[in-house]
Parts: sequence; structure tokens; C-alpha cells
Amino acid sequence: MNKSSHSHSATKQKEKQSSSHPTVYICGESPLVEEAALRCASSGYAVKVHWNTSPTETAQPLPTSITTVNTIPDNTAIAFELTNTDIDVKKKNIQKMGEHLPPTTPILSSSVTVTATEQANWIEHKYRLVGIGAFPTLLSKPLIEVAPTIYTPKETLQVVSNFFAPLHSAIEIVEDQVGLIQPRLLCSFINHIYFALGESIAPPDDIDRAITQGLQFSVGPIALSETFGFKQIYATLQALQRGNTPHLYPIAPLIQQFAATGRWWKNQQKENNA
Amino acid sequence: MCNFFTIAIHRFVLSSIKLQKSTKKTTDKFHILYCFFDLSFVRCERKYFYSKTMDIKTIALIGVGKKGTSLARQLIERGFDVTLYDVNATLLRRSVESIKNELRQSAQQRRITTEQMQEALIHIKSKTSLPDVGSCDVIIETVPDNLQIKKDILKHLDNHAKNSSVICTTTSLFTVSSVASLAKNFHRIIGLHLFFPIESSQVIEVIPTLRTSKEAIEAAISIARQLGKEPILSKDIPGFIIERARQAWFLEALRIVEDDVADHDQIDRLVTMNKLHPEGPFHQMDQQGLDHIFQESVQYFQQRFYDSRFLPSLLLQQMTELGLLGKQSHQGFYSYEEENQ
Repeated sequence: MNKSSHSHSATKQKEKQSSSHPTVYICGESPLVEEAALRCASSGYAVKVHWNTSPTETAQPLPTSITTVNTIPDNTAIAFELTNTDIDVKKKNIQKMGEHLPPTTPILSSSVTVTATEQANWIEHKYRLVGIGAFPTLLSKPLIEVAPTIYTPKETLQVVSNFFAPLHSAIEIVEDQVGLIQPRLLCSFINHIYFALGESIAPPDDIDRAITQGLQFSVGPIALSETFGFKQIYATLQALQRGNTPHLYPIAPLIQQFAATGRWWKNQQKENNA
Repeated sequence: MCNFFTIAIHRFVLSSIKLQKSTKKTTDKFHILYCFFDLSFVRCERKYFYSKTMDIKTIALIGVGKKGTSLARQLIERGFDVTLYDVNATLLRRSVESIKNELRQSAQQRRITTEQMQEALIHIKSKTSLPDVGSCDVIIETVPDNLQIKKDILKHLDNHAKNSSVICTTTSLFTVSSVASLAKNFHRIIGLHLFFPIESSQVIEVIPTLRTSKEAIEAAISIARQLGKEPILSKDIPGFIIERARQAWFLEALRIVEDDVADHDQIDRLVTMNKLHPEGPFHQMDQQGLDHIFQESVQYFQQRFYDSRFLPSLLLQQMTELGLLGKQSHQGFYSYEEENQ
């Protein structure tokens, strides 16, 4: 058998396999879409993705088993909406999913910057939407935050739990409030540190070193902020600020600046060195 | 009025020259950021990390509680002549005995040689009179974090220490400036924020005030390095870097519980299982003592002129008032009764 026929049969086999596995439709922003897609694809799900705007750079190229689509596949078993930074785009995505997907298909939507209950009110079949703690790096962790809405029945939660089981992730049920637990804890912590940085307490590297060595964090808050991206952090802090206690969540001016300009000193240093 | 304008114009010209120079040199926005936020002082001080180390031979330790004793032992093992001072003669005797016993144990376990132990034993002295410590190169106070006591001791030390002595305060609750406010020679006063147990800690925060001299910074950095720790310079701001970060971490975790988003054990589970930190914040608070954490948060809130970001937790206040102090009282966020039995 020659090489081309072998690869042809392999592709066919792949297609067969993917058709036998449930299809997951993931829509939203980078890097959350890539993170969720890789996680689902590694567990054998057939993954179809759609970005709000095409990502400028991805951390790693996506495998061929993940396909980019412009329409929502009819055979979608479960759908993800992963947008944190633009609520209007998020609303459009959710509404589109609500119209195109069968009423029994669950929608897992990031509820970091807007509550899941509020999102459920954007669609007709409110019971099928469940909030999840989608934030950079957190979708790859062993414990995923899930926030049921006031409409969510137990059955939908069971479906969600069953979906995450082959991904080797357990779910932690939390109250449906913006920021959930980890994004709120981490963003607020980073915000405090950026206030301190703005007060010239010490240079960024020294702050990270002090916190990793003095408080046993595996990664310093400055390095974490670069991993998360300033737009994600800023959107989360803005959502917390819109809550009941805005006086507790003023946003550090440096975070506002970096979220707007998308630049930070390490990137600048790298460019200069190059 | 004329003078005011002359000074203003002069300062503006100087700052624009500084900015131009920095942008020409590297076209580095980071550099501009430094100029803008006046981080230049930190950069400048960082040079001392690599400069010659000050010749420190004799160190006086004021206050021989657990922290003082632990620090004394570390210093003695590294060959410093250490004079321990405490008004309480019994406590002082106990501290010296404890250090000697630990040194003997180290020799028995062959972590140090017998010669090293005998040499170390010679290095320990103890005094109950404060003026006697005046001849030491460096004086470190490790008395409990009570502002008035610390202020009085620093004033007294400043009056009696020889001119070249450097005086270090180990406060973590107050700014170094507030502790030093009654002294006259501000140039020789510096903060040395230590973490206990010292043996396992990796860093020491070095906190110069606006008036601390280069020599004092050098001395503090030298001590940190000789103790095998990484010195990190911090501006004299309430909580410095580490305590401030710790408070921010704890306060937000407490707010999440107060807002009923999740229970304390859920938060700890998420933090530990997802490897954000080896210990959950509530477990950490229990270990460190809820009364201590609450007192710290109240102090920082006051020192920050009641900035709402540092608003202390009502839950923590109530737990403290009801005697739920964490591991020390066998009940905090978690119960330690079984562990105790």
C-alpha cells in the first residue's frame, strides 16, 4: 500500500472516529477557546471552534482534529461560549446558540464577567445554560468551577459533570456571582500588587521574587498577570466593580493602561533585545 | 513668587533632560516607567547588592523571645559575636541556654564540628542593661510589635549606640519611619523584615526610610546575605511587599466567603487542587492565628488612611471576638480538636 492511500484511509478512520464521538462546539475569544479545544480534543471529543475575532497568536498550533467553523454544527452535543471581555459579543453568541441548537443541548458559558442567570435570560430555553469559571489557564486545571443558574435542573448539572469526567476534571459547584472564586481571588490579588507597583514599592522582578520565595506561590503575580493577559484581568475587575461594593474594587491605573495598550515592559524588553 | 517659578522651571528642565537621556539611551519604555514612577531609587540601591560588604563583627539583639532567640542562633552559627539583651533576666538566661543546647545538639548530630560549637559558644554574651550594647556594629531589635515600645527602644538605642552603629528594627506591623520617629540619627535606622522560622525562610526584606544612609543599607544587605537569605529592597510602605501581598490574598478570600459565593473549604480545595498555592488561604490563616491576621489588617487599614481596599473583614473580627483564633485555640475555620487529642 502506498503512502497516499495509507494516509487517505487514516483520514477516513479519523473521520469515522470523530463522527462516533460527541461534537463539542466552542465559541469565544483567545486564549480560552484554544485551551478548551485542546482539552476536549485530547479526550477524544470532535471539536469545532469559532473565534469572535481571529487570534493574532496562539500559544501552540491546534491539532488537525480541531476544525474551525463559521456555523454551529447540527450534531453539537455540548456547546461552550468563552467570552469574558466583550459582553455584547457574548450576548450575540449566546442568542445564536439559543436559536440554532436543539433545546436539550447544554450551553456552558463563562460567567466570570456576567452572571450565568443573566445570560440565561438572553435565550428561550433558560434551563440549559450553566456558568463555568473560564479564565486563562484555569480550564486545564483538575477542578473546574461550575455556577448553576436559578433555572438549572439537576439533570443539566449531571450532564456537565459527565462531560468533564473523561477530561479528568471534577466540578466544584459555586454560587452564581461574577468573578466566581479563582478569577476573583487571582485578579484582586494582582490588582493589589499593581497598586503597590504604581507606588514604586519595588521593581517588578523583585516583587515576584519576594512573593514566590516569601509566600510560597509557585508563580509571582506579575508573571501571572502576563500569562492571563491584561484584558481578561481588567474585564474581571470591571465586573467586580459593577457589583454591590464598587469601593472595594478600584482598578490599579497600571492595569487600565496595559489593558488599553496591550503592552508591558517584558514584551518591550524582548523587542528591544531583538 | 519669583523664586518659586525659578525652582519650578529648573525642576522641569532637569526632569526633561533625565527623560530625554533615558529615551535616547535605550528607547525603553520600561526606563520611562521607572522615571515616571520614581522607581529610580530602588534601581540605584540595587547596586549595593554587589558592592563591598561592610565589616560586621558584633551584633546586639534586643528582645529574646522566640524570634530573637532563633535569629541569635543563626547569627552565632555564622560567626558573629552576639550580645543578647532583655530586661527579663530569667527569659535571657533561658534563651542563652536554649541556644547553647541547640548548638550542642547540632554538634552531636554532626551538623557542626565540636570546634565550631565551642567557638560559637564563646560568641554569646548576655546583658540586662541597654547602654551596654552601645559598642556593637549592628543592633537589631526583635521586641513584640508594639509601636510605643519599639519607638522608645529605638530612641534609647540611638542615644547610646556608638556613632557608626547601624540600628535595625524587625517590625512587620508598622512602617520603619513611624518606629524611628523619636530617634535623632535617622540615617542609621533601617527595617529588616525577617520571616520565621528563619532556618526555612528564603528572603529578608530590607526597608530603608527616606533618610537611611547607604552604609546602613549595605549593612542590612550584608547581614541578610551572610544569613544565606535573598535581600529584597522594599519601599517603607505599610506591610512592605510580602505582608501587604499576604493581606490582599487573605482579605479577598474572606470577602468571597462573606459574599456567600463559596465556603472556606471550597476555596481551599480549589486553591490547593489547582496548585495556585500549596496551602489554602483559610488553612494558612488558621495556622498563623486569626487574631494576629485581624490585628494586622486593622493596622494596615489605619496606616493607609482608611483606604477601602484594605477594609478589614467583619467575619474575622467576629471570629476573633468569639475566641475562634485558629490552631492556637483548636478552632478557627477548621477544627483541631482531634489533632490535639
